[in-house]
Amino acid sequence: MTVNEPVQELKLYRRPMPRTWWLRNRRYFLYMLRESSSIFVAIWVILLMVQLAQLGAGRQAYQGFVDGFLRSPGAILFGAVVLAFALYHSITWHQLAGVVQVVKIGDRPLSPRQVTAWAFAGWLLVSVVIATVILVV
Amino acid sequence: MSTETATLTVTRYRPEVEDQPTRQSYVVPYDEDMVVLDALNYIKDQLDGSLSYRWSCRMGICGSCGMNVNGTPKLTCATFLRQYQPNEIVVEPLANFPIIRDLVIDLSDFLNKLGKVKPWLIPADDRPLSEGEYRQTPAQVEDYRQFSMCINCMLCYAACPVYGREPEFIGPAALALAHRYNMDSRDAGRATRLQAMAGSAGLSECTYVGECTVVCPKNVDPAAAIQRSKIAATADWYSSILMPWAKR
Amino acid sequence: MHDAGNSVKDGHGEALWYGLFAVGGVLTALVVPVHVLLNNLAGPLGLVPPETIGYDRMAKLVANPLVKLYLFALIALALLHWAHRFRYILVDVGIMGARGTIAILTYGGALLGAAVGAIILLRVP
Repeated sequence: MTVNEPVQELKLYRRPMPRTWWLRNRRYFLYMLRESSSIFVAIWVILLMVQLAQLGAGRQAYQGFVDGFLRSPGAILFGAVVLAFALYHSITWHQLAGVVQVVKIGDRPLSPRQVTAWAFAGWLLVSVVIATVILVV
Repeated sequence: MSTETATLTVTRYRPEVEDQPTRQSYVVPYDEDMVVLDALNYIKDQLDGSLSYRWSCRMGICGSCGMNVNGTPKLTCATFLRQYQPNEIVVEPLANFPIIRDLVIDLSDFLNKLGKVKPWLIPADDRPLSEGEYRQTPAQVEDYRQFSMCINCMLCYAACPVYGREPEFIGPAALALAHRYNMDSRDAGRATRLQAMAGSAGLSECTYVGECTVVCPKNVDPAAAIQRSKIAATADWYSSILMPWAKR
Repeated sequence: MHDAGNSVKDGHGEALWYGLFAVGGVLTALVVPVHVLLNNLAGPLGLVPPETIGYDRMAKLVANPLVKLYLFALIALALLHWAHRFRYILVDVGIMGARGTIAILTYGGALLGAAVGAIILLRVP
């Protein structure tokens, strides 16, 4: 008999877990929101592919896409929604970077807060570089 | 003496007479120094000796008294009634585990999984005592110290929705302890533990909900341990594919 | 029927997709907000000069093979990141088939999307 075998027959009661478990507390809900951000980013990427396809189709096609779709109120609203979700993904991802990645200077590890600070700084730098390329170069 | 009282609503399950758990309410005397365990002990001593529950050290180190209090996994010896007073306090068995009786859960699944990750030092070779002790710098201890604080209280399993929906999942504490030994400079057992950690019910099932870390009474941060292990295991796998000649 | 096995062989395929998810997560976390801000909000709303998203500028930027490579990486990795996360969302809400049907539909869909993205980029002069 192993350590884990019960001495007598147990009538165990197993509590079912509802599919709506993620509505049970705020952190579970925010987790679902964070995961769902990937859906909106994927949709944006698909729209980007459409935009690039129109770019390949020529000036008229592309301008039609910009005027007829990108400038439409619906697309702008969607853009705002995507931005909100994308920011939520970015913020949570960089916050967790400090916890997930141990960075050592010699023997001493940086504190999670320090790693996170560098992660956010890196994000800012990359964003500025990209914006510069798109606007100026 | 204060005549203030608190109301505890407690899960009852007597398998010999019922098929489903029920609830029973008790009124206990209240003062602001009382913890939930004090209230349970009062119930057992003075009101209803039939109530079954686990406890031991009453000071947050043995890990026996984990239960769900108002929906959150807690150590009842470390949870003050004043946090909830004057509202009703609902005490349920630790979530995600089968109930044996009243507030007592069957933890054999956790014990099985703990054994699977071999939570002990597996040195590279058998050193005789004459060769002296293992030595570690403070920095080497720091690499794993946080993860060694686990008291096996299973609050993290109760908090983890992955374990809730997939009972095969090896779970936060087991993975955090595996990581604790993997990070110990005296240990050489990482490859041995990989079997249990990287299987289909192992590391890959964790989606970093992070609730395990929130409820851990010892600040182990099992979520961090798991993500670090995931990254290490993934990097290992990729390097084994892309650079098969490299020694890991 | 959920796979209850715990062998190394069972689980190691997961490292492939997790790795792609992780790299995709890093890339999307770094670059998506600034792109959405400029391309889908500031540009169409006229908060930056309209030429920013105009044909001439875009054609000039995307003509560069390095830009094409960057956009391909962004498209492919964002889709693979989605695939992994979405697969586990479905499992989280109780839809079974994580290892079988769902995996094929999500990762397969992402790979298909990446292929389409590559074709589209190659068609931009």
